[in-house]
Amino acid sequence: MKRVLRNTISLILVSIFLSVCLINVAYSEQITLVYAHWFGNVDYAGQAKAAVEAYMKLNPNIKVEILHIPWAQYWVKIPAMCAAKEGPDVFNIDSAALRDFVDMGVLEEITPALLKKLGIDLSTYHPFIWKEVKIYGKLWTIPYGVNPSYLIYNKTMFDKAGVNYPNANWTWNEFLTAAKKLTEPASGLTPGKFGTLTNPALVNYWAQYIWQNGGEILNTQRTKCLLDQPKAIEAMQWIQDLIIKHKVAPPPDALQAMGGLPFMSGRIGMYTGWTGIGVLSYNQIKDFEWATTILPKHPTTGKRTPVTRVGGEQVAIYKESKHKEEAIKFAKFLADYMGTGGIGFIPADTKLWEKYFINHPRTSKVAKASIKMLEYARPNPYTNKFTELDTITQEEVNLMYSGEKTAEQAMKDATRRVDALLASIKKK
Amino acid sequence: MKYNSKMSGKSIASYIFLIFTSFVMVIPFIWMLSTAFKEPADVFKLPPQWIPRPVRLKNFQEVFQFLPFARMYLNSIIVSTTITFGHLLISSLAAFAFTRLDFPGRDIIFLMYLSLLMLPEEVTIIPRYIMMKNFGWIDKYQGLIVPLLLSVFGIFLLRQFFITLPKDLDDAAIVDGASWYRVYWQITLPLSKPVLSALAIFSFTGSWNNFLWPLIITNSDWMKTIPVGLAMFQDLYTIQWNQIMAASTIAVIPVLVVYILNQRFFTQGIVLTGLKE
Amino acid sequence: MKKRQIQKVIVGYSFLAPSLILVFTFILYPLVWSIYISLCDWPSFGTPTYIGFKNYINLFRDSRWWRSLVHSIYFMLNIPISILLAMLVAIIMNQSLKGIILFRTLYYLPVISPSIAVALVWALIYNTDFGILNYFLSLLGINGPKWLASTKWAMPAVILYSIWKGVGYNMVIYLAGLQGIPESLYEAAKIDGASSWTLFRYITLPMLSPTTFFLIIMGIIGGFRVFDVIYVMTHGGPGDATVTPLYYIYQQAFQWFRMGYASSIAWLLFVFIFSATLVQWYIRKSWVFGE
Repeated sequence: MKRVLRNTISLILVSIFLSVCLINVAYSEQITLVYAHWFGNVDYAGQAKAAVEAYMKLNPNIKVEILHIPWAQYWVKIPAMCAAKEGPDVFNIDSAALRDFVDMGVLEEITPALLKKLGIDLSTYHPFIWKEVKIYGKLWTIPYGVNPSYLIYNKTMFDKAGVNYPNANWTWNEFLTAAKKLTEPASGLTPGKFGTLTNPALVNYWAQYIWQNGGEILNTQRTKCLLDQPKAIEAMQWIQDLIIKHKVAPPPDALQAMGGLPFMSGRIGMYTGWTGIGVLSYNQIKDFEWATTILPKHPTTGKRTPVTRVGGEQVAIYKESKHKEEAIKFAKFLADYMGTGGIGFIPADTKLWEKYFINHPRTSKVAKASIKMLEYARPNPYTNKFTELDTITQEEVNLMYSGEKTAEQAMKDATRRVDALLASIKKK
Repeated sequence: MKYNSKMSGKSIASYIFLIFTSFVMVIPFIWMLSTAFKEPADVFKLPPQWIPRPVRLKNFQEVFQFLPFARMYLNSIIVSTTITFGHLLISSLAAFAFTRLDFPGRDIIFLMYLSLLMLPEEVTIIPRYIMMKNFGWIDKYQGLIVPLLLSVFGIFLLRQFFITLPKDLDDAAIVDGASWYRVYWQITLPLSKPVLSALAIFSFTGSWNNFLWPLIITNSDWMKTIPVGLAMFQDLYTIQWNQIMAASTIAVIPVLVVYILNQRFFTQGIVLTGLKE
Repeated sequence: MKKRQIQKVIVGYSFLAPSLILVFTFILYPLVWSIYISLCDWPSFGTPTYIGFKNYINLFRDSRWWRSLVHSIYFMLNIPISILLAMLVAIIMNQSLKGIILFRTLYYLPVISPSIAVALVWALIYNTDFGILNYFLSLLGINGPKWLASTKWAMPAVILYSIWKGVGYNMVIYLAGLQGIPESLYEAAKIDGASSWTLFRYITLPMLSPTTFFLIIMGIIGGFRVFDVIYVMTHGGPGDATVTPLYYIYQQAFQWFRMGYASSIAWLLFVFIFSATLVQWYIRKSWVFGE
């Protein structure tokens, strides 16, 4: 009798203990989020890591795993994971792929109602950003940075050549004159110095010249390519002249030999750089002085349009995520944290500008010029299959840069190919 | 192999050729080595700086900070060693079957194996990933190793070598009552040391440098292998050259070691005793 | 008789068992899947849409695909050069000279150096204005071409680079093959008064023919599948002058989200590679020793 009583009491006690444990577990449900990015830069990746750690500290029931996928294979792995039904909950995405991803139904829409429910306020974000990241008028990502182009120049090189620094009154004519004076030809095994440099990508460089000249890349509906129009060809001809005629910019293979950031080699007088990760590299320059200013304006139209993009500085939410609301909350936290790191881009949230961009030691030298350029910003003509459009135009422009095609021929061929691409997209 | 105690004209000519051409072979490697010790701004100084000034040892430290590099090193060693032994065993078994044995379907199956080399792995990567998920092998050693144990390259290489081995020894052993398994183990394999060493070198090098599959199959940093780690220094806009070179320099060492250790098999000829030519 | 036949089958397939199991487990299903996908329109997300042979029809009209095939065949010019060079080097390296292991190691360094590093150095070497190659050419009075910036010279530049990178690899294979040639053959021939050339032509060359056959086949397969060097050095440029089939597949599959189309390219490429290999396979008995 006694034994039965003892056993029963033990059983009851154990049951109570187990129930209490289970209840605790049920209430503190551990949630795991997976966040994927491609950041190869130590500071960038470090900021993301710090963000994750800070978030986990504030939210002990949430675990965030970082998935670092190198850029070149990013678009191999994300589809593979999604095909296996385990895509990352939050992942960085580039505007070039954004429209496709939205159309393929991979992303979760971040509705105003959802933002309100989670107490997320995006009203202090710079208005340009919405022009780029909103697709079909809806929001699919939490952006955290924006990068317009501006002019960066090598002060030491200007001093040595006795050329006056660029100022706000410059047009591209003054730019060219200065570039000529800064250029020194190559001799033997020593490469020369160049006044400036070019870039084959439209979202990084030449779109700004076409727009400033009054030309267009695509029509407003983004169904027809307009690169074969006279104003566009004229602008591209001017760029080609920099390389072939005036020889103030290096040809494509010289650029390749200078690695990712030629300005750092000290052989480039000035160029239209942009904020973003390049700024971190500029900070490592020790051999010469540099400064930034706004872009020169077009001599006839007076336009000063830069190339501007949010690009990859945005994170999306996976549609099949099992914890969408937590994912969005984490995404906002991450975005804010990234904006405070001084890692190069202009933070999307204007509230962060004063302390974390204008006065941050790493970005203070680019802040004034880039913020000013935001006023003139125009969104890039992102379409579906934009990476293919980008490849097509880069191929043609590279042939133009190396002199194998005239500007007119390159643009006509590019237009033909882009039109074919746009037509194939329309069919769907 | 006779040892030349005096320098013949042939030897001198050989040395001249080798010294000249080795220099060409090695220049990019020297650049890689020197960049491993450079400041980021010095990487693209032109003409190239062969001796870094200043020397930056911090690159190596940063490599280990940015990544769990030591763990990746261990992963690469475990994976590559296992795969190498797997290749040696499985490929030699198959090559033996294709050359020493006679059975229906032999040549067709060999052609089928050969054709497996002809389809790029990129288009099958998604179903293979899904398979690994179903097996539960994502982010695990099994996923990194087992699907890669088949080496058609190895089978083909060994087959071409086995063909040149005379069948007399085999026949003699079979007549004496040995099984084909014994012939394989005690006759064919010992005679094949040079080609097995070659395969060991290639399998190790190949799996050490294998990039796409380990990238897809691993999620957590501590399961990744070295090439995946190296790729992590590349970004959309920039590449951290000095750090990649530092990491690459460290990464090259085991491969070199395997190569050098296997060299002894390339300096002995084959001595076939007990055979009437 | 029958029992022996069965025994032959059992023994044969038992040796093949490990590799066959691997094939059936890990390779067959993905292969069949990719055939199916090649008949679909699929951007790697969502459900594939079956479209029959449309991909293949579009592929036949795709000039970029055909050009890529031509580029691959052009690339295969490296095969005879690589093989002859590797054979020469292997014979030299096969001597018991002092320090030979050092030289063998130096030759192997290009093979194991990461592509991304060496491609950059070669971009420097190939540079039109300040590269070492054009500098040497200028000393000989030749005005060097634009190499990687020229549609005409980019592929030759890639070929030269590939020969440099692969010679150590081929050398190792030939070294292995050389070890398999019995000394007794050479000794017997020398007793009969054979010259160095005779030894090479009538002993070394034929005895190496299985190895040569191997390198030719692998060279052809590899030539159709060249990707790494394009990816790190030229990105298919300038223009599309160095786009190879595999690079095109990569672009379609992972940059432009057309996995279905990419799979059809892969399978059409497979047909070409298989045919080329089959031809080599059937003529092998006429020149390869031991087949």
